[in-house]
Amino acid sequence: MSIMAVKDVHKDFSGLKVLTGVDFEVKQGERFAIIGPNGAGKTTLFNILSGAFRPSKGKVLFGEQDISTKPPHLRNRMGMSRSFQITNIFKELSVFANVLAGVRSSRGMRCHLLRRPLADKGLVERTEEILERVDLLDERYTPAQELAYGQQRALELGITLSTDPELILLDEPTAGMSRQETDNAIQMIQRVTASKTCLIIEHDMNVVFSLADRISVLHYGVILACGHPEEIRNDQRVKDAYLGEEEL
Amino acid sequence: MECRHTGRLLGLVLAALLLLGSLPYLLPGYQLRLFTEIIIFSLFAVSYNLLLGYAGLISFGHAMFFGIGAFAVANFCNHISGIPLLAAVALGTGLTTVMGFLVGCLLLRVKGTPFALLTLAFNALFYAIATKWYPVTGGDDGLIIEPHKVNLGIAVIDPSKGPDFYYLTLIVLGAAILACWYFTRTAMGRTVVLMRENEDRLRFLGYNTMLARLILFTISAGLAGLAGCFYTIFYAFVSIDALSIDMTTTVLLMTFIGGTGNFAGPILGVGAYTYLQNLLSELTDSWPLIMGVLFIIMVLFTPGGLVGIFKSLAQRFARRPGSADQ
Repeated sequence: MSIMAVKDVHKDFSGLKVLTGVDFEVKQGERFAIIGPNGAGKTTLFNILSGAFRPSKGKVLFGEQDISTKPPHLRNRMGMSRSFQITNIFKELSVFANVLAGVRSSRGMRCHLLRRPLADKGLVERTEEILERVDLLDERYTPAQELAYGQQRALELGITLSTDPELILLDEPTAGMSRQETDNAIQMIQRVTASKTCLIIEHDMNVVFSLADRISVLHYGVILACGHPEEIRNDQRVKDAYLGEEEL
Repeated sequence: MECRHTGRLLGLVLAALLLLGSLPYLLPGYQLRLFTEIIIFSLFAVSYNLLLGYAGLISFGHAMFFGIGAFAVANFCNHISGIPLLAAVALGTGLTTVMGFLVGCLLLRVKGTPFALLTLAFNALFYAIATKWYPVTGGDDGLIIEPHKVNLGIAVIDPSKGPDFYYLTLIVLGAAILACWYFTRTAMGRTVVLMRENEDRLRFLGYNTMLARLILFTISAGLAGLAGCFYTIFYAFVSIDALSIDMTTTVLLMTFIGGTGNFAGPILGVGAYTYLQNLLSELTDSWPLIMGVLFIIMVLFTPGGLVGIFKSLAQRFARRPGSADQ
């Protein structure tokens, strides 16, 4: 069963055609990756999926529902959550407060005028649980901006997980990381997305081939090929278009 | 950590209440009036700081709500015969809250500089209306009111008597200020801070940030209106000064002087401002000049306001490295 389906999605930016008919489906429980060279339209596509942009044409389905015009906060409440390529956290607040924001949102405690989030044991415990999963429990009181880069990326992941999404959208989760940090991040992503559905946009081949169950290759605004990692590795069109210069 | 903090703060608040309760026996009448004024402006400044300090929204139009409350209560008292004073206050606050909601709906999509300019424009609009709408505002002459006595069953409070009105103000506005403090701890209060820090991220976590901003704006307007109601009763008079740009600047100065990064900052600022103004205006007619210079110095050298000064002094004496407990 597919959890997300993208149907003939186009996007023009005042005449510049970035996406020209993208189709794919993400199945329940799989890790699905979209790869493509710089300028292929990966980030634009990701923004359309998460609600930052609306498609010029075509549809995005979440389950059975057409979510093409839904604003980001409603998409999140339906059960999808995205991360950001450029770390997008609440810098001056503590690590704990960063994750708590999402945890209480998923429990409907967003604008309550009487209840205090810190007095709610369930929320605090759930927040600690997520912090533990991304190895940040010891840094809970640290202001987010004082974390090392790798830890900030882990926090980014923790915030994304905090609303307990069915579908996790990861935008280049290892962007800017060293080899060692990347390996740790891959392990962490494998761990926290186990039994969840995950869509990853990534530039780094190593990351994609170690994480993804299925891969789609985006090239100049269309999907060039879609398949299991082995199929993609051996696909002649993909090699010609994109992977030619890289050793797979 | 948060819990222990709260407990200590609660103790402090109780001690302060005890002291405040005995003030009419300690202070001469004139000083007590000054203190009553401080409480009224404290609520005004605290409501303003919910926008400025907590949400990071600079409004140049907060006086419009203060003024609406001030004129509303005057009209209710003068035109509805036999209306209990507190009912007039409740109606005035309610009306201001509705106005806050309506103005807030129009400001929904803007932040930063456009927000500041639009609030300024709305304030100017309301001021212009007030100068011409003679039957409701008395134009340049203002309105005189005769507040009714408040009958509580066991005691009768006469608002024209200093100590009586002081207690009324302390109880009603004190409760409102405490409610504001509680508000900063609630889910909504924390959401406001998250919104200041990173509104974009918050939208992707399921928060309707426009709605949150509207709720905050409405609450803040209602509280300013409540302060405005008491302002009118305190002077038994209200003029268009109550919703002038000057009044907006005053609350901005008070809040800044005290410090926006802390709940107690604005209250401290109001105290300092009021006493200083009182002192200087006895010495010279050009007191606004001195206040202006002081304000410039404070903005330049102590961005954390009075609270910032106290904090750094405390740190220096305690000789411990700066801790970032935001």
